[in-house]
Amino acid sequence: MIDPLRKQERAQAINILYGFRFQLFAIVAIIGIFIFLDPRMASADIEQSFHSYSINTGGTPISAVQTLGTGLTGTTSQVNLWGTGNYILQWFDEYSDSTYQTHVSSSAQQGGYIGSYSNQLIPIAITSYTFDPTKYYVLRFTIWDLANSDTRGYGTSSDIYTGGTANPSPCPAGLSGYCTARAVEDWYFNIVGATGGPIADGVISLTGPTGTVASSTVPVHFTGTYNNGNSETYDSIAFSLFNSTYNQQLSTMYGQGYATTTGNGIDFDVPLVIPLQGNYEYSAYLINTTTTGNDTRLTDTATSSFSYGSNATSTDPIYSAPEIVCSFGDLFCYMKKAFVWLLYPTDSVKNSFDLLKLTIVTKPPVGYFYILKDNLTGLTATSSAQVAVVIPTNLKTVIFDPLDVALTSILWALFGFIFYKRVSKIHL
Amino acid sequence: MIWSWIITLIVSILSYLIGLLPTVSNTSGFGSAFAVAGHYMAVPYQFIPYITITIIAIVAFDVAFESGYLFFKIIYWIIKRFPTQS
Repeated sequence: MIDPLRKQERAQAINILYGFRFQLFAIVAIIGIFIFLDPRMASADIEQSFHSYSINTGGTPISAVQTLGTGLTGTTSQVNLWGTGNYILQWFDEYSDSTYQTHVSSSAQQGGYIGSYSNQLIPIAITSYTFDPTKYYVLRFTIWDLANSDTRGYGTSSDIYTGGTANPSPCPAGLSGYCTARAVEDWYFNIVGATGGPIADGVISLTGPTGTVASSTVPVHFTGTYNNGNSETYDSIAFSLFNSTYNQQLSTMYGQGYATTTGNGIDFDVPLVIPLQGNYEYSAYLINTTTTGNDTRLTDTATSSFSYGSNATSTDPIYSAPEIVCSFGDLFCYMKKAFVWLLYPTDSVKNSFDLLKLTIVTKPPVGYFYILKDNLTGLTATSSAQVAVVIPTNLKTVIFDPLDVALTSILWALFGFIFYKRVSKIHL
Repeated sequence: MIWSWIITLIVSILSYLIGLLPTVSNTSGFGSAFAVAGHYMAVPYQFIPYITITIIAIVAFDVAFESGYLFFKIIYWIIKRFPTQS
């Protein structure tokens, strides 16, 4: 028998909750839209091999060619490359009729000095270009070293932000030397976190470390096994540290380590100087720094273990269970550990969600939204004009510029007035 | 682990079902249309950049606002169908 007073209170509580139904749904809808618009979800589907060129010949430009193939869709306006050196020039080409066609898109800095880089991710803006899925594309980039120092340029085609799935086969006859991987390839790690499970594809995640420790050196140890069937020397491992709040384009490489041995079970002692603030993701690439023998390949998967040094303030990967230390005989604590183990979702679950998200954005009806979004993102008024209008500088300064500002102000004022009238007539 | 198993099961089922759908791809005509629109937009942008951007911003905001309002109305209509206790 329920007390009538309690029944009335329960009804009141339900009614209060019911009164907030619009707000609750609005919050859910807003969060949903933001998740929906996560730029990382719209990023690349192109997953081809990793190409690189490593030179040590000062003053000599070296061109590297990466075949992308047919099937590319969407609009791209930026390419990310990892690089060390002074000049990096690059462009997309369409390849047909056994020859390179006119550059369909070029870096804005083509032919110019774009800075000196030391193993950094270099986001290179290119003229906006919409791919035609029927055409065969190649990405060519030239690296230039004026200082006679080790100069490299390398990148993954997955850094090209667009849609579609590139298919480099069949390889055109004239590009047969480029359709197979060369120099340096992506080395896929299966990294085991300090307390978490294996994470695929060379990226590991961690919560924190938090707080700023600008000058701290965090020793990182990698132990890995790999297949070096061709007996090449793999002597460098590069780390990049991603602030997980932002997307990949804003990341910076923070450290690089060298192994002194070859074969199975390399130990990398990587001194990292990390400004520890916020949440980060690490990624790791193995790089061959040998300046000769550019055919060296790293083709096999590897299993590596990852551990942090004592200076790191946190070692808990995201989505792994919190560490609970129980004193002997504390049954309640044991129960708590059991429940945490039982109920806490693992990293692999989070990864499976990420994979599902990537699948959803390529399928109808969500895929159509992303196609529209990608195209709208590529829509820019600063692209090459259909008709070139040349206005004398004086005329522009005296008439068009003030007129532009004045009419814009009127437009905004009109917009404010009309929008206010519209909002005032909305009945929620 | 239970939670992980349940989520994994749900994700697996969803992945399988979603995987059955065809992959959408951009058509060259659709992409070209936006590229051409950009070229045309660039014409007034050369001499009246502020007005050009303002018009685009206002139109985009209006579309987003009205879409959001419509979405809200749809959600509201669905909520009204829920049985309530009074």
